[in-house]
Amino acid sequence: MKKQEHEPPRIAMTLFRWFCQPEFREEIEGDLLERYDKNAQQDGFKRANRRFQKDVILLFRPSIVRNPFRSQHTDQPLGRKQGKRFAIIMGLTTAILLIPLVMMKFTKEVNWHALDFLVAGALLFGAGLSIDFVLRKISSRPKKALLVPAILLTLIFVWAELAIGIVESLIAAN
Amino acid sequence: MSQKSIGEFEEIILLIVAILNGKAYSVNIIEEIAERLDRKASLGAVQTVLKRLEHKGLLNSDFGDATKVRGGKRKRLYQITTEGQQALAKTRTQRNSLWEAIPNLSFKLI
Repeated sequence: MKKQEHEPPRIAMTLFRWFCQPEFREEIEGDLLERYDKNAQQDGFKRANRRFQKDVILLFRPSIVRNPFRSQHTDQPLGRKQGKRFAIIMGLTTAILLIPLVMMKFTKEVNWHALDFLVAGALLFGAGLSIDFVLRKISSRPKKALLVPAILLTLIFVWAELAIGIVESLIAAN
Repeated sequence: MSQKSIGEFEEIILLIVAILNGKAYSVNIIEEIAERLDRKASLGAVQTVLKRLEHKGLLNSDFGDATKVRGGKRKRLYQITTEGQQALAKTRTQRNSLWEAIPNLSFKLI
């Protein structure tokens, strides 16, 4: 039991191992552990834990973070299937965003700014990734049948709220 | 003469690596900065600059020993390259020339 108390925070360590580029992992993990040991000897384990967490957060930099488009375990580029799914989500997002873009050419009623496209793109892409995650990681069919519509409803609700403010409209109606 | 320019923090790291003479790695670089300059530097900042300087060819590195304190992980030891030494010399010359260009009067007024 005592040995566990002397270990650096597990969540922070797991997070570091997840985001760090594999070629830097060994040396930086060693540095983190060495600093943790020194801090623990100087100021106790509570402070050492906090500093360890801070060290991990401050390591989250572009030069240290691994490429998200490469596999976590082998550091190889994502497989064909994963790449294809990613391309489908990107393609669908772009296709949906093209609708208001084209409509803006024909009618003045549709007037989107760059920020609107950005927010809508992020919403659609996020929803697409979430659905993809549910379909791949959850094996139970009833759960899938519940979660996918829930994601879609959330997307529709957030979209409608941003477009016309349905919560405000409901409050005003009451 | 090296054409690679370096920033203030890069210059500090290069100088500390030169001071530590073959024994420089991120943890003792942070300690040297704290001791000599009374300045805090995070592991992330130091690692980022070390990687950048290595990429620029101003530093080179090799794996050192693994110790128990480091959980059996090897440390990466850095050494300054000839290009790194040239970059430091160039920065020093530039700074000296700027200091020499300050008229005495401007400091008397402060």
